[in-house]
Amino acid sequence: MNEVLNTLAAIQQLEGAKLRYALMDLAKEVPDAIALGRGDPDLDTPAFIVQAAREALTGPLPVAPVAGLPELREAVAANALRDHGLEQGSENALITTGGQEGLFLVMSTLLEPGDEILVPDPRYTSYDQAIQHTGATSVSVPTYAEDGFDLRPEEVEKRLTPNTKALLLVTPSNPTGGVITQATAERLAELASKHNFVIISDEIYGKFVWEPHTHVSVASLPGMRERTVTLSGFSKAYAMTGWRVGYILAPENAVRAMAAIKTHTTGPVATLSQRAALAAAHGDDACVREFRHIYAERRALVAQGLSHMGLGYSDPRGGFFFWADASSTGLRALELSYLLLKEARVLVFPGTAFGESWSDYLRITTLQPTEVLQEAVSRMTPVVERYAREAAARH
Amino acid sequence: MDLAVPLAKRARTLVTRGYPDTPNTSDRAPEVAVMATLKALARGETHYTDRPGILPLREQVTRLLNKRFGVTVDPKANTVITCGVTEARFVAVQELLAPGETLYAGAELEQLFGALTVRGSEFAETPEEARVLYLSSRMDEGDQRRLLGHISDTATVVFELNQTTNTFHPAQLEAFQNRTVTIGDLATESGLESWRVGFLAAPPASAAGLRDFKQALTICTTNLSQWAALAVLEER
Repeated sequence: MNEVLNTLAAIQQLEGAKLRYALMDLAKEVPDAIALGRGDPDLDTPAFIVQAAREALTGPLPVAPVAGLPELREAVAANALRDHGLEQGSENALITTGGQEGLFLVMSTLLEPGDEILVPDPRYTSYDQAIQHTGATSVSVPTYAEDGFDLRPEEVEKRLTPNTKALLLVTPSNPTGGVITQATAERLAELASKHNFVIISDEIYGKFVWEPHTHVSVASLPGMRERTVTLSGFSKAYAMTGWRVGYILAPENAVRAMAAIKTHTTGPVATLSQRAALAAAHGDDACVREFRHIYAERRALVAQGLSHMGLGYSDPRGGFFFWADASSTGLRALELSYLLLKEARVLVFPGTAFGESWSDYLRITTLQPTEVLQEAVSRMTPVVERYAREAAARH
Repeated sequence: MDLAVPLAKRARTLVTRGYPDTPNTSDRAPEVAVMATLKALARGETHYTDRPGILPLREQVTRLLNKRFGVTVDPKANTVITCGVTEARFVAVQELLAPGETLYAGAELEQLFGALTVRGSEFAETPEEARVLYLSSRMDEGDQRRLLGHISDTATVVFELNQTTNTFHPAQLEAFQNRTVTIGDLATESGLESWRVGFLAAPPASAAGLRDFKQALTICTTNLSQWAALAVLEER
């Protein structure tokens, strides 16, 4: 028990991404642990993309321009029109070293000390360091389970000040699985125009919105192309996390500014990765449709498992995560995550890794094969049920 | 196109200095790198790696430093694979300097300007006032020793390993063993310029912060590039 308390005391000092990585390091020491933590699709990169990389290896691979291969920038812009009705040219596209670098570039380009950026709560805490690095201040905007974690425009409006430079949208949301509805997007667009702020729209999970919900790309709304920076990438859509290819769509001057900064962050993205991404971008997305079927089956399995355990959740409207209410166990989320790792050998992330006040919640991914998810559920169920019984007995 | 997006001062500064692109100089990768990449693809090496990079490559880096300079670095805890030396340089500047602090550069001034601008830092006019001293292996050993003799006891040294055969390293000096961060490029010399692989090797006190910043910037370095670089280093 002392070991448990000591380890917990150590990781309780951590927050956000550091907490997530500390838990991942702990999981490496647990034999046969099942990882339902990191957002890394377990599926293989589709064969036609791998084949494009193999073919690229037979020829020269010159260094690409910092902003990306021109043909990839063109393809990304064309797909924005095809997929979201968003009219952009190649000059509006910047290829980044994964979506992660994109968010750093956006924040570094837009924010200065004294600026405020509105960020929905809970949040993908990897944004925190990028925002803090600029000297700007992050202002939390609450979201609610009863809304499916859609953003309430009135909560945004209440927090606007003369220093508000930007609003961050993550749709579908990591960690909640909420998506921005058309009505919300239109209202937020009105606010952005009226109060002159920028919308940064992280749409990295945009190809995975579950029916009857639909993906809305804010930049496609009238008048919004000029005041929206859209972040996305190939990692999640095409199971290409290790290739490190993301992209930004933005007004041309912003792209030029971000490219200038990118010259000094990482330089150009690896050419081989860009050639593989080009194959993905030129494809018809049949592989994405296949992925969606696979994820739908997994989602149903995890939902059934959580219900069986007695954990509450909102059906995710998009993305790969369940945001589950574990208050029935009577344990703080971090403690429960740790105990699930030790006793069930399953890694899930505590809600506090995505916002300080979410100590009743767990983020659980669906990014494992069906049989592994079944095993994870069967391991977690008796542990969760036992703690829930003990909590009920105490009351 | 009108810009509704208000750009930060640092972005405006960098744009006014032009829109530099990396020269297009690389050709076909060495056969050993191509073969290693094909094998990695067959193994399905298309996911994130550990955030500091694949361990065998980190071990190769530390062996290289030990063989050439006699410097010892822990590959597991204190070595990070980066997206080229560009990212290593950027991460070092962002993590080791606070806004307003200064860096004295004995070399690589042009390459450092952008990283300093993003950090809100500047070049120091003298080594004495600098929080970080930036040296390069292409510098004359005597010049490096002279600058090391001028910095404060709390300053950190960043030593950039370039394509030279010099064998001097600041960490060979006891006073700088625990405050020298080594960065370098694993790609250009190997014919892998477009693959974007470099490294950071740091003393324990600064390693965790550097690793965390790299993770926050790009999560990890391109998986296949790491295997290609490893194959080239192993062949040497």
